[in-house]
Amino acid sequence: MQTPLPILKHLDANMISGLSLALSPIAFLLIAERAILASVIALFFVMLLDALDGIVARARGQTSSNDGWIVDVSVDRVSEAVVSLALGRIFILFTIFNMGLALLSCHYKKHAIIPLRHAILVILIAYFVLQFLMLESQPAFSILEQIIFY
Amino acid sequence: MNSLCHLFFANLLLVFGAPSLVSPTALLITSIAAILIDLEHISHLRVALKTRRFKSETRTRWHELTGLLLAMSISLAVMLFCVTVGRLLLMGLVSHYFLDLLTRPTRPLYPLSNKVVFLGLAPRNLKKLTIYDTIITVTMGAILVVVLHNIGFLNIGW
Repeated sequence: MQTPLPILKHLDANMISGLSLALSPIAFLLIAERAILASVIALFFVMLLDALDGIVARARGQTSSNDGWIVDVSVDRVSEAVVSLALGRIFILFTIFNMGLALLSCHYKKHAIIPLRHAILVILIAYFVLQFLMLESQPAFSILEQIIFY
Repeated sequence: MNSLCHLFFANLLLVFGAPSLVSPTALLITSIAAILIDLEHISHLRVALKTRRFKSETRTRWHELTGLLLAMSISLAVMLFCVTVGRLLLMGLVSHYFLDLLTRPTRPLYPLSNKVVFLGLAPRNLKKLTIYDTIITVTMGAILVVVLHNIGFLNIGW
């Protein structure tokens, strides 16, 4: 199969998933420090690497989609768990729910997952924009703050 | 990862991620939560002493994603009564699963799937793995000691 980036063939898909997971505590620490822009960037890189592992696997001809799915789903769930350590209880509840969905998906061979990190990213961006526009006094800001943090 | 590394990493997450929670009791709770799951290795200790490693087959479902699901549910339940203790438990428990998946061959979806997942961020060779583990553990331990000393929890005369 012709790949647009031949360099991808020299990378290992599992290692990229590992790097994505390894970056998760950095996102956790930045959210905990309320460095919102930096945490958005870190979370974006976590998700970028997560997306890249599938592309690399296909470029290397690793076509066993079930094996790739198991790596992907386990890394994603643990990554979500690490990031949710800095977030409010609602995110922990969603992480638990997502983990249950992952196990059910494996059992029933039907994939159903909530894109939780995407949702966290969108909420963090919304929080940053409100902060940037100095709208801290707005009710939406305090609601977001109560949802995101402890 | 070895239990000492789990203990250091969980406490590093605590001191950097939630410094307002840090106290001797908090460090103790996080430490216990971080190494609690490794107790299941005791029954496989005899084999591990011969082979000098715990294989992924020695890990039950409680050491994999099902266990993480249960651990997070218990922590969330504890949070209903005491948010601080729940967060400390969560930090210790989640950090354990994180480090194991990152550095060891695991079966994340066991018993639904026996597929062994290894992310390739640690060597497989036993000698290299021992060196790798030692470097990571000593580094984490040193950082933790320095941070705890700086915030006044360790009174070391330097």
